[in-house]
Amino acid sequence: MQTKTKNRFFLGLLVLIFGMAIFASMNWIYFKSFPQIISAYYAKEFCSCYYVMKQSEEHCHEWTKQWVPISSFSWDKDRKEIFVEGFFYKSRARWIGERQGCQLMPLP
Amino acid sequence: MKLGDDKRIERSLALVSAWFLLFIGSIELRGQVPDVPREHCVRSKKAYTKSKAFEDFVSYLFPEMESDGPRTKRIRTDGLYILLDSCPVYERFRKNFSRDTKHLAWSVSKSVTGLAVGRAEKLGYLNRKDLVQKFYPQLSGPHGDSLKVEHLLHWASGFAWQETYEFAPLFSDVVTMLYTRGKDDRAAYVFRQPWAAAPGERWNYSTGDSQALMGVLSQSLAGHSGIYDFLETEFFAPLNIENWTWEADAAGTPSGGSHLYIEAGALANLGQLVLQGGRWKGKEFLPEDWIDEMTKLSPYYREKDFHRFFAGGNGGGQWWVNRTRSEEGVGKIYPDVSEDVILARGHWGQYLAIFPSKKLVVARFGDELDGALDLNTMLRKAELSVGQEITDTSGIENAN
Repeated sequence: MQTKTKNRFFLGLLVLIFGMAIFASMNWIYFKSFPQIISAYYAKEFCSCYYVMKQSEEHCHEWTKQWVPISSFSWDKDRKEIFVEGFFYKSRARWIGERQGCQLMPLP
Repeated sequence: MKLGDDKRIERSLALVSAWFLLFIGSIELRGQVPDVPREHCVRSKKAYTKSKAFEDFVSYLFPEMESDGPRTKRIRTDGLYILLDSCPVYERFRKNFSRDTKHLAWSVSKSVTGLAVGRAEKLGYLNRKDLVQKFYPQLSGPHGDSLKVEHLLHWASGFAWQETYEFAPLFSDVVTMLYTRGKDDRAAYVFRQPWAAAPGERWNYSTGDSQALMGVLSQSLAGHSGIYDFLETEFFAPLNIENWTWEADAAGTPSGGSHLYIEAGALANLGQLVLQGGRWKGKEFLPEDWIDEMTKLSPYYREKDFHRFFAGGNGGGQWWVNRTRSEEGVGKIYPDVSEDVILARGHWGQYLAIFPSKKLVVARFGDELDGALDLNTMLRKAELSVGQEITDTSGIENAN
């Protein structure tokens, strides 16, 4: 009786994983880039909030926060660069000027 | 020797006072729309801000609440700037925001892109009837040779596009374009999308079309002074707008659909340009019919195209409208507001509303979740804030 329930649970899990894998492969192009969004959004929008909108550091963290938390944040104030890591992806944004504000940059 | 010293002191004193006067002058001039006698403005400011209806409108946008903390479903205004009869009549900002704050306009940027494209047509850099292929020769596919600038202007390119934001980021073409696969050349990303319809066949609100429109504008200026020089010297500066940032991708194209940062007063000036039918300082700044082109009900728009979450109204060209087409079942989106209201709307509470029959322009920046603010209510209160009829019938209370 117990084995039967266990088997059923694993079968269900297998079907679920299989279904998810199919869904992911069908939409692979979206899945591939999705995790990058968290760090890219945080880095770019924090940079703009601070250097363009000229808000406080505290406000900018609050303003930029998403439902998926980031795992690291670092800031090179001399180079006006923000590094953010989240969802296993790293992103870098830099303030490039008064008119063009902040931009996502390739990782060094 | 002594005399020389005196002269030098005198001269520097004169210089200092001249600078001081200039400084004072610049304060006085700031935010003022040109060609308006000051006296008249003082009068309209007084008359406007003492009415009960005005108070009702402003207190809707500034409810008493703690002003910091996370973005919620409660109304939170970062900045408000009102022009009435070409006069700055009211401004108010949340703590840490001011008239000098360049605020992110999000999708209000689209409407400004529409204005800038009109300016470029006026100056002969491009025309709404031009084929997009003229500027992006690599554009291909079955409709590559029929897509025109006006289709992009009217959000009717026919490109397949998923306009979703943070609630469904996985399939969002907006997020992908801005932050991941499309980020280095955003307009090119849009032009790589598959076709979902023929150009002009289907109206579909799309940040992609706005970005592509900005791409076309940038390309049209590539052989001239370039997009940023155009924006600076031929678009913003003549409108008395100096403090702006329009973020670009690595290809140098500004984010036509999302990342303009601008002062509330400057945004109101752009609204005034719309109110004046595209004329500025008595001259045609935009082509004569450009405002009408953008703010009529788009010829491609059908009632089924209305999408409650994204829509700021019925579909215009880079603007939202309240106009109707009853024979096709397109009714008012804002039942309590005039049909001629014109609206730019951005994510998380950014608005520019123009009420032509009231000569009223309202620029409002916010930081709240979409849906916190009821647009019909805000627009109604704004519209009712102008005009004698309300101060006379103060017994009629506005239901919220």
